[in-house]
Amino acid sequence: MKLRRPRAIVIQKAAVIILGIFASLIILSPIIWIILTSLKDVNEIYRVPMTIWPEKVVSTNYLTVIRGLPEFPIYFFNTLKVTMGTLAIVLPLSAAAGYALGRREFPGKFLINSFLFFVLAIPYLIFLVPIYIIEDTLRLLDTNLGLILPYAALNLPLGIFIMQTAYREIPSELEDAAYIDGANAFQTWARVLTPLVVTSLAAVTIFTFVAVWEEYMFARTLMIETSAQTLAVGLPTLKVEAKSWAYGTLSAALTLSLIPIGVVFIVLRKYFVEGVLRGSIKG
Amino acid sequence: MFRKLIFLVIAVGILMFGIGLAAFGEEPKVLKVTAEAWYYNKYPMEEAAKRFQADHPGVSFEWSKAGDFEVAPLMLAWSRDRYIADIAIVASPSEAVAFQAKGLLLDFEDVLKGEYAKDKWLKGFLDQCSIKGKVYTIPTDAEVMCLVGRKDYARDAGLTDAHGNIVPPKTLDEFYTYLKKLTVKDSSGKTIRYGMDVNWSPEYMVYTYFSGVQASRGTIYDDQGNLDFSSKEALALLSFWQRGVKEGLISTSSLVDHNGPRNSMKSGIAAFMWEDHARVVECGKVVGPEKLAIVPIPDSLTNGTIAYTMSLMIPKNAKHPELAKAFVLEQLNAPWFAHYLMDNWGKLLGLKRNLEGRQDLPVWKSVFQIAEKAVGLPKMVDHAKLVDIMTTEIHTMLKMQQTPEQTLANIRKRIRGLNLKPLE
Amino acid sequence: MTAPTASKEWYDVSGVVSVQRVYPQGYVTLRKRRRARRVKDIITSWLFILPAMVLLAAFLLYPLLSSFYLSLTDYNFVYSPKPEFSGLSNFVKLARDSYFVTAFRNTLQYTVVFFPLLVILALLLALLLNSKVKGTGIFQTAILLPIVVPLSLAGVMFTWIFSEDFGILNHLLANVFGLPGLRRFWLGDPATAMYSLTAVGLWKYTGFAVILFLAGLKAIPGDIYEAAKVDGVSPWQSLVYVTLPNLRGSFALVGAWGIIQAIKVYDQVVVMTNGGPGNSTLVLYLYAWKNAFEFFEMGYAEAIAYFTGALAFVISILFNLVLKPEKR
Repeated sequence: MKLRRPRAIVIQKAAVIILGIFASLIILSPIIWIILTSLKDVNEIYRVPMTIWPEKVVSTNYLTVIRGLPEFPIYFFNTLKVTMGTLAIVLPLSAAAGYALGRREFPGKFLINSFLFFVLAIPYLIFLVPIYIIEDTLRLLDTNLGLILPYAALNLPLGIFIMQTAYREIPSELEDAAYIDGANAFQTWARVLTPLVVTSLAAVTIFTFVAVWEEYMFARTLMIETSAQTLAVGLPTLKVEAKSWAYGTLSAALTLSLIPIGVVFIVLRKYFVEGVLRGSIKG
Repeated sequence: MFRKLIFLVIAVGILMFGIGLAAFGEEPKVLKVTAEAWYYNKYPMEEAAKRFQADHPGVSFEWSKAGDFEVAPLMLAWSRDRYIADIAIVASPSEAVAFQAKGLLLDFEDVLKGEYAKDKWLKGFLDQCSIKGKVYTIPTDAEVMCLVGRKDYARDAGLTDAHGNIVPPKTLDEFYTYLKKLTVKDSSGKTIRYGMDVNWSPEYMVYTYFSGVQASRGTIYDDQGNLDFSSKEALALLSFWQRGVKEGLISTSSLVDHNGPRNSMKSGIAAFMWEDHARVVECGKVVGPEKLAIVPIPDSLTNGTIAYTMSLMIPKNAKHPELAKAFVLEQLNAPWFAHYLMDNWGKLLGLKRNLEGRQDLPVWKSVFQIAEKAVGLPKMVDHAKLVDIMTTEIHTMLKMQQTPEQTLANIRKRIRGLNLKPLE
Repeated sequence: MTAPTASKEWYDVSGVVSVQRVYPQGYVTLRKRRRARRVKDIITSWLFILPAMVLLAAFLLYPLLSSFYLSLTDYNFVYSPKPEFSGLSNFVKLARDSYFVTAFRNTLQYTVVFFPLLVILALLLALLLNSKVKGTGIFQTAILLPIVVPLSLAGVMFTWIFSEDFGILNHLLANVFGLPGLRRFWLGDPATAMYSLTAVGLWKYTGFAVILFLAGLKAIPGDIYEAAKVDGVSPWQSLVYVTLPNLRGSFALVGAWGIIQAIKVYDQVVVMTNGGPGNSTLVLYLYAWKNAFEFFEMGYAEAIAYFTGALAFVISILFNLVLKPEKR
């Protein structure tokens, strides 16, 4: 048996670290550049030849966003409300449906599973026009619920798949014991089984959260008024709005909008990765 | 479990019902205005509201900001009788015609009397807003298509007269020599200062193109009375643009950003800009007003150019149509409002009285000279499709993927099925 | 994963066997009661699944059927009073519509560049992150961060980076790396516009594919490598002969997922070029959207949507067939 020489290991480690730094920098560079831009004075931003580091760090762009951009908090809270609302629907419904599909036999099960699989594989564009017409009829356009309902529906199939596998893997002894103790199906589901699949629920939460937070096409179509728009739709309109030389404030707004979700991601990164791992294997 | 499920169903039902009620529910005397967000940033709407409230106590205002696309969502909403606002400030009258064709707009005939009588308005602008003799929209934010030029660059290139004013080019060919003199290239042949930046963005495309056609032909129609995509002047215009781009004299920044030409002007990397007159004020704030001048598009002083206005519309499903009309005329066409627009953003309003005392300022003098012969675009139901086709084909040409002849032929082919018959 | 086999056993247990366990002798009574129990069971099952099904029926199933019908109609949402059945005429129109053909070609072009790069980059980064060196956690955070950046906002960021005169990319190329010849009007030039949009898509989606590969790498048992090492296999050989074959499942997953991401490219196109210059970045999603919500031609838009849907569906099925993980 050959033993690796320590030098080779050191070289290998160094290579990994150097490549890691290199890859990280390239991937982070757009975000860094936006932050740098947000700290520059507007005349410096549009100067030719340009500067990379701000000559003078200014806070004016951030102040403009905070004081002069009432849309920004509106976008933010709309995004938050829609995300939370969607989760409030997706989590219980996917847990209930996942339990039924994963642990119970009933006619129609195969059909439902095939439908869910089919829906996962087709692009959401197909649903958009009919959903627009439905919401137009029900007067749901430009309301938070008008986004929550379609988002919940679009994210349910994956959620149900993940939960279905999770429930299926629980050993049946636990459930049998609960039945013998006189518990009914609902009690068994709620008190015995669901506590065992919390990690999968976390995976569903993560998938749904990310999908809803960044969704653009539905939000853009169904939410026309600023008062109902989300960050993903609202901030780009600041770019196309007939106001030139706006990249200072735009960069500041972008930076601010990325801070909350960025912090959440950095803090919960481990759980996030595990959640996606779990979801991806099962889903 | 049953109970919980039933509860869930009922809760969702109540929620949806509540939202339905909220959508239908009516608050007393709230005047809702919708416009793109920038409109509120540029114009003193709060002030106008305050002044209006002084005259009409008990009225409150709600500002609705439309996102990045304007006409289509309103069309979708109003055609289904969905209430969006009492006043919509969007689009040009030529786009607004689609609303009228569907019978979605109130006309202004009943209030255009006394100080607001039709003869008190600049005819060109009000004409654009009328269909079959009735005024359906009130012009606002009016502009004429022209060139804005850098006097200092022109002086260095020897293109100014004794007073330092830019000598207006008489033909496109002469203008081409201007651009050649004004363009600065580095050693590698890359342009570092363009002779001109033309606004070819979808927002401007039809106005830019037809201003060129009108200026060289005196009409935007061909010999058969259709929109002109076949005359030798149209061909000459496209060839002039394509050649300019090819030789690095004209910037194509507007192909990705409709603010491109403005940005070029502000940062001094273009000597001319083919856009609307109002930019002279806006860009003047950055580079210094003394450095900029308005220059007519070659031949446009005799043949005319295109005038563009946005329009104030009141839909039939407005909740307070009378108040809306009053607000539009009393405040959004008040002298103070007009002067604010002119001084700060170079935009015109429709009432003649608002121009008094300003005609003699040099900037406005040349604007009026140009505006005198300016015409509006015809009002066409399929305006949006026309814009899409023209933008696609002309951009393709500017990227050297087709010749001007092919471009015109493609446009002619694609617009064949559209309803472009002018409504008058 | 062995889940399916486990579950199959479980189903058998749930029906008869588990009941037998409770009432070992009462087999005859059981047959009588079984029917009643079974009905109650079915109702219970359906009650669990009902809330989800109601939502899915209203917002996915109905739209799916309704849009299929719409694709067979001539329906201008603003001008037509109601959809008028027109058979396959929308699909016939597709074949003759040069803008549609362009959109199709552009979408394919995007896919052909996006997809292999996605797989290669994600695999390399996953291998990097999978190495047992301290500090890869920080790299992981950085490399995966784009996952939480909305694509439309990434589009805004990259518009600024790609800007011809004020963009950092051109500046770096010309003034820092000394390659002024590489300066481009990235988004305004048909030759580079689509690639620029592809780059944004890659920036956004590679992180997610990295996780999918990481999952596959973590699932490879360490003793295989040990065995390989004992046999004196070089790291390169162990990558080719051990790692890659074991990643088959991950490839299938990344493949199916990546193809769909490529075909549904939309967000950054709208934000950055809106299909321009000319129609050099017009993609299927955008063309369908424009037809529906700018020209109100709902029927034609749905025909494009169905075409796109069929395309994605067929490709992802093919992918699953080709790379179906072998059952162990």
